[in-house]
Amino acid sequence: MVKCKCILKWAFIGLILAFIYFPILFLTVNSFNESDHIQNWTGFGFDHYAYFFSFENEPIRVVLQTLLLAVIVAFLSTVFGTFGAIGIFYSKKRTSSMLTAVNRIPVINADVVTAISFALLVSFLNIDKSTYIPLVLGQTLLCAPFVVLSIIPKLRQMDNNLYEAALDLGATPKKALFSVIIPQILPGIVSGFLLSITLSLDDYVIAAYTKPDSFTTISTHIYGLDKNNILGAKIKAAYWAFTAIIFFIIVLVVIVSNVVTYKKARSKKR
Amino acid sequence: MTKTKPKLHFSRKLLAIPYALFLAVFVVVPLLIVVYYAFTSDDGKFTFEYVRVFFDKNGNGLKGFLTSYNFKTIMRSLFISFMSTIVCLLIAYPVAYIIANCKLKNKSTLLLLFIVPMWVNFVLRINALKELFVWLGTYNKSDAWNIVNTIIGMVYDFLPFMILPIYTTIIKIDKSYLEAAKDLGATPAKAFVKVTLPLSKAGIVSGISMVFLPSMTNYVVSNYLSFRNVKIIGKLIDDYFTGDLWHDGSFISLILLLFMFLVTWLTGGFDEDEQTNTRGASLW
Amino acid sequence: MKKRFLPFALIACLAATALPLTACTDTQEENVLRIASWDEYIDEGGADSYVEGSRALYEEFEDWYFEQTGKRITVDYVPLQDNETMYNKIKMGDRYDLLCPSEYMIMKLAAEDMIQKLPSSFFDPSLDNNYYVRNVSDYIQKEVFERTEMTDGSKLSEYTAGYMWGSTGFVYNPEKISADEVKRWSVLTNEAYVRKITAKDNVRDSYFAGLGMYYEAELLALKTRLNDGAITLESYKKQLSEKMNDSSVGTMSEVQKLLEKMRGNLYGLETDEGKLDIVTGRFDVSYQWSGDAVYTLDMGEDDEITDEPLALEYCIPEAASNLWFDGWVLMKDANVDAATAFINFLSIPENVVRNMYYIGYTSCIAGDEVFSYVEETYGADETEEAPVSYDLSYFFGDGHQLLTSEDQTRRQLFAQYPTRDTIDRLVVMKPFDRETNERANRMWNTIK
Repeated sequence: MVKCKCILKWAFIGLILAFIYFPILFLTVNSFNESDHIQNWTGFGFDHYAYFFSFENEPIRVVLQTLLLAVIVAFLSTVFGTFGAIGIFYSKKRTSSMLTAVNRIPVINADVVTAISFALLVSFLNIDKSTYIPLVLGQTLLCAPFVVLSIIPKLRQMDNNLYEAALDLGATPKKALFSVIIPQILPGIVSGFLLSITLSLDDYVIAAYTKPDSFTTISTHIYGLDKNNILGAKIKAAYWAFTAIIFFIIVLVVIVSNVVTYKKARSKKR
Repeated sequence: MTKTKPKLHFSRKLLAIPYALFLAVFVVVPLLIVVYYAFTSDDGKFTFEYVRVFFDKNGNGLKGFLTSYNFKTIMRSLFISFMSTIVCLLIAYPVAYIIANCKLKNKSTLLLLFIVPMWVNFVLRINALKELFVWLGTYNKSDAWNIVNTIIGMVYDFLPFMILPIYTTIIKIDKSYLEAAKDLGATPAKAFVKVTLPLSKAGIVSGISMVFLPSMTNYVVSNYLSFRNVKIIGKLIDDYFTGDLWHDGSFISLILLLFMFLVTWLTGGFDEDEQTNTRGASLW
Repeated sequence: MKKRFLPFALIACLAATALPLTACTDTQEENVLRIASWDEYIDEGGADSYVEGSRALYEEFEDWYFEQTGKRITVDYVPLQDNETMYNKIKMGDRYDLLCPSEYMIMKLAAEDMIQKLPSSFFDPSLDNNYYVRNVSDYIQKEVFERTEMTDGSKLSEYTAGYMWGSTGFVYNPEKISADEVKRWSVLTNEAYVRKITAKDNVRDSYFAGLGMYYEAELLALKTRLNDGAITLESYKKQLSEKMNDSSVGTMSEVQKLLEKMRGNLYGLETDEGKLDIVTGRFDVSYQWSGDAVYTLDMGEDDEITDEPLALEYCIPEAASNLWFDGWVLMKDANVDAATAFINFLSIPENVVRNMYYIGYTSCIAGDEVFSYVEETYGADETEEAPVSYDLSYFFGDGHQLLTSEDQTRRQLFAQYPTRDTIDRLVVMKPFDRETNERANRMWNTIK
């Protein structure tokens, strides 16, 4: 009976994993197709990988510039979010709860509304989109609240006496902030930073409304490619190769993290 | 002590000012602009014209609204997001529960397996799903299939956001409660309903709030998986803006905004109590 | 150690904000030419170009401009989706030097004072680099542009230099549907072809199709009267234009009903996505712009896409259809010298041929080189059993006849250069005024 239940459990997990990975696997297989068109298997080849890794072609450049944007946005969001979180946490009750509520708006709001309202502000203030300011600010606006959300619990867990002790020992508030508070909430900062990177990489709507014309992110590039013409099909196929590469990285990460936990467990036993 | 204390509190609180300004300028002001556009005409005069156009399309009053395209689109969006949320919950809860309670040492690796597909850009992921539907022959086969494919796409996209918060709450549940329930003679099923489920409520609520609203508005998914034949409220807003009808678009945004506040208020999302971290910050 | 964190953070923060700023400074200098055009609307070079392995034409222009003027210029070429997107971007604050909108949008932009007239030096044929004015087809410049009036009473030709032109019509698979059926606009609502047809995802083209359905019977009757000699060609064209530009409240609500019916019958609406799907058989009829039609027809014979070549055809509805032009216009405050140089660069015959080969659209430029390219592409070869004569003299000047195969009169050649009598039933769209535009967009938003 117990065994049967157990099998059922893992069958369920397996089924859901299959649902999650099948589309990605499907693209991975097709990334080795010589033809640019999925419906038409013409033979095994690495053409799409060659195309993807050639700097003459768009995809790799788009991937790199999207990554650069994500790092910049994540950095700004982390700086804003960290100080914001500390400030909110130590504010008076009323200010703090009001700021927390406003901070939650971009988190729960529909991203179309966030994007459009922000684009309206940009056109109101007449900011030139080709300065990249709207794009970077728009995505920062999306990410910073998440950084705040991931830091506040860490502030709550923090031992407040350490800070007081540092001050009693003669540290300036600034020094105490950087040498006591920041190190203690560092895990929250790091997870906020990484989360911002993922959010920025995945964002379509805000980028679509605020990006300069000459700039594309992975999302806006692929979305604009759905045209079934010859060049579009080629670029799309190159992105399948990109998907496959990420898929292989995923496999690698999972194996490595498995091995690490296994080794840890063994060394503990010893 | 008495000299330094006010100063240090002042110093830390000061840090909130730039962030508060940031939120005010880039969150509050844009929303006010939306409100402004919803209730003014092109020459800046106050008007209810766009409210009227939205609710009273052909001059038939409420009856006209109930048969109008806008209403149908809202209903369609609600249906899609409702179904997506339910399916997500039905998948995510057991998955989170099984992983949290399994005896494996590398639980986090297993969890990671459900999360890492997020590393693939979401438009690419949806593209993969589309190619799969094309291959299976269900792509744009009929209106019903379009809706089904859209729901599958939403579930595919938002599932991790449901799994993570639920997992974090379940894993935090103190096992002694369950043991106590067992000692008091509760069956495992009863213990689950009386202990685990109530204690993981915060995770469920947080998960729902991460899935319900986005699946009403994420038009990239619906456009991609239905050859633009399934229109949801996010696309409706986008269409009004690209169709040079900013005022109409603003009014619909406003409705969506009010809806969002309502949902958040009902689920207690604005409370200051410890929230399960949304969109899985605990991921890392 | 910890102390160093703050300055480091500040520097990194500054670098992060400065990085995009440095990227932007060069776009604001005067030596950048910002051009907004359509996706896939210029030779992008590479392996698919007429000159294999060449660079994109807008990149080659930078060198050409330097050779001609000794000045460096960087072209920022922005491909957009459709006229409405372009208009919205400009309204949202984007600025360009040169735009490539369609005729109705040119008139709208002119009426809203967003574009300026071309300088008179641009029309001086004696200047060496004025390729446009020397090579443009008389049909386009004299018969159309100089006869089309803008809202302020000036002529279309004062504002714009033609780039591409064409018609709209149906690409269809003759094995699945007969030519007689696609000659009628009503095919769009024909339930026998449910989920077998696509239409365009923009308000003007769809409203036009709706008008075609609404006035179909009336216009066909009008045509019979023309053929019987009861009315003159002039009055026929005038009535046609009035009907196909009718945007009155009553007509629009009738058209809305037809469009709603059409929407339920379609495979879907598309802008560019549908070109390949008709080849793979997902649908059989597609409402297309002529240049995309040529592209689609070419794809039907591409062996990388399909194992069996598919002879698709192009058809222009019998009652009436659309004659459109995309023209280059200068925005206010544009870099006029570089922008007009760009127009002239694209009007050099070899570049015209490259563009036509790459994108499938028909250039407004005539001239012998272009004619010989058309001849080389569509002319009958010696093995052709019954070549037919195809008259292109309206466009290329007297005496330009082409011997071609019979099927080309229904295929790419016909899509690129419709016959003279077909052109008589094509109508140029007029811009909507502010109120009509709002009404039309609302109507369309409840359908798309």
